[in-house]
Amino acid sequence: MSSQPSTVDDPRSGVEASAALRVKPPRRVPLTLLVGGGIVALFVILAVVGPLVTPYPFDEFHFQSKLAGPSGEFWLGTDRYGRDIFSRVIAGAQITVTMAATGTLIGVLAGVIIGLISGYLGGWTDEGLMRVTDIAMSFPSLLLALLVVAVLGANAVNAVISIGIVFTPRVARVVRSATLGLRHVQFVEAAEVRGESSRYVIFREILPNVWPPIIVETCIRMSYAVLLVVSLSYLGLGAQPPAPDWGLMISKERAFLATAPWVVLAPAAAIVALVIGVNLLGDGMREWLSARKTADE
Amino acid sequence: MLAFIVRRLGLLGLTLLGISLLVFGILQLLPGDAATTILGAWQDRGGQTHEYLRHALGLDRPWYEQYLGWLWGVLQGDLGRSLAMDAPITPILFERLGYSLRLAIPALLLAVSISLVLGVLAATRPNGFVDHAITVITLGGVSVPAFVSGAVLILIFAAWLGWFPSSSSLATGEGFLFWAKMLALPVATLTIEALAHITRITRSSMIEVLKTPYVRTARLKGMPRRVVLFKHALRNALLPTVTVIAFNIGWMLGGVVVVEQVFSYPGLGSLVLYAIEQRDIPLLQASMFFVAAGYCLANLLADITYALLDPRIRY
Repeated sequence: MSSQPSTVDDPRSGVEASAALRVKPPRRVPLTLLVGGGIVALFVILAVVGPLVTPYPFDEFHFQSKLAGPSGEFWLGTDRYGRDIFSRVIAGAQITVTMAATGTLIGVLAGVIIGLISGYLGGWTDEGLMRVTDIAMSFPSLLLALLVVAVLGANAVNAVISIGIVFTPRVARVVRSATLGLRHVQFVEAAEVRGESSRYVIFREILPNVWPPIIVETCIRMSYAVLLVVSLSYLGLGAQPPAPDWGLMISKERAFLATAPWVVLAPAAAIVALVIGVNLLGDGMREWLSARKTADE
Repeated sequence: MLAFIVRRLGLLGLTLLGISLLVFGILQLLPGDAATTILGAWQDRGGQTHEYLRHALGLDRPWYEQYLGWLWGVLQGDLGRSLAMDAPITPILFERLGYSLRLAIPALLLAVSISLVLGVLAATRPNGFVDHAITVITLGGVSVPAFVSGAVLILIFAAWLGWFPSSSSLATGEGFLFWAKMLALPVATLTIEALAHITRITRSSMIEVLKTPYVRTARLKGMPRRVVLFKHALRNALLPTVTVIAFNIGWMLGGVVVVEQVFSYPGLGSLVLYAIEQRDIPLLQASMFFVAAGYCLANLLADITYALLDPRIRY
């Protein structure tokens, strides 16, 4: 049992000595986490301020310059209505990031609650909930999302809901198995002996201890969420025109791929950059949290 | 082994039953029913035709009767009748399945063989140059949605080089060369997607296995590197890989929706999209069930392969 002494330059040393002893200072933040976090942060900033900083409004037509190549006037060229691609890609960050984040959030929230309840209560509750997740997971994710959108109707909100539904059983699985590992540890049993309610034990004792797998799972889900969002939009089942959604831009403009490749390549590059960023963030987060865990033990 | 397979088959039956209930249940929530879809613009004022049609189609029966009727048909191989195409669904599904398999099987074979080699190469020298190169490429691979890689392939090989057609119209031509040319780009797109996933898993499980004592023993007793790698290590590293491969089969059967859309390829995926667009409930119900069943079957095959590869595993 080696307790890691807090380093000298740790801002928390002194003031919050007891907290610093409990929460160990991070060992070494992996490069992937920094790079991934940086890329994601950039897109989040774009999502917030994007529409304010675009050179042109994303839906402004410039009929004099339809399908114009990249130039000083239009940095990434224009589409068939003469809309500025650069402005559309920047403005599109808001849609994709918001949709992916909300979908993930819904799925993680529902999944965490179901996983905690299922893992802690066990018995028939667990059996019933897990059989339902089995069935939900026997659909390939995109297909289940399609099914949900087909029923609810094709628009951005329903696409987000469908992503939440697709993710719920998968997150529930992960949280449940993490919960099972805590079912018989001392602090949980102590709380039970004290006569605490199930709700207290689940949310006050178990939940704080299953954060690492939840965070890692959230990062993994985020990258799938981005891919699902753009795929649904590409198939015409997500955001609807004239929204500057990246998947939608690619599907609407792909007829001009040969003559004006930028109409497809610009939003494609944005998608790939965002997904790579989220993937790096997830890989780095997993590495970092598992390193911290081994340092704790 | 036999008991294991029988038990798994029983479980498969139960899962399929659950899936059929889920699909049927979800689609009951759709606003409007098959009768509305058939009548289309010809909705009559009094609603008499609508009522008559509902009765003729059996839509006025309670849901469980409809469900059991549908299930009974499915068991006999009759998946119902498509409204939009006005034809029995079963033959359509099998025709589309044939097209999808022509896409999925070559892609899967290519992806598996290439990714096993890449995964082993990367794992033999972790953190070496080859490993880093492969890691970067596969990270790219899992981060690029199929419609983007498809578009780039079309741009390079169809628009600029003109080697392959950019879309797959089946009407013109026959013969192996025709098919090879037409399938090249969609298969390549699918392969890229699956390749990255399988390589990542093979690499990480190979690295784990290469750390184990028995691999070191084999090396120390002077066995050739190649034999140790492929006979001792790869066999064990294949276990998690098989799961990923099975996942990819399911993904290829159903999730090829995107690739089929990119290349206007008439497979199962585009059938599902067509059913959604046309609000063809019987077709949607049947094709969703069909694809999910295929996915479960792939998972079952993976479990059995798993058990064959590793005698320790019995559920």
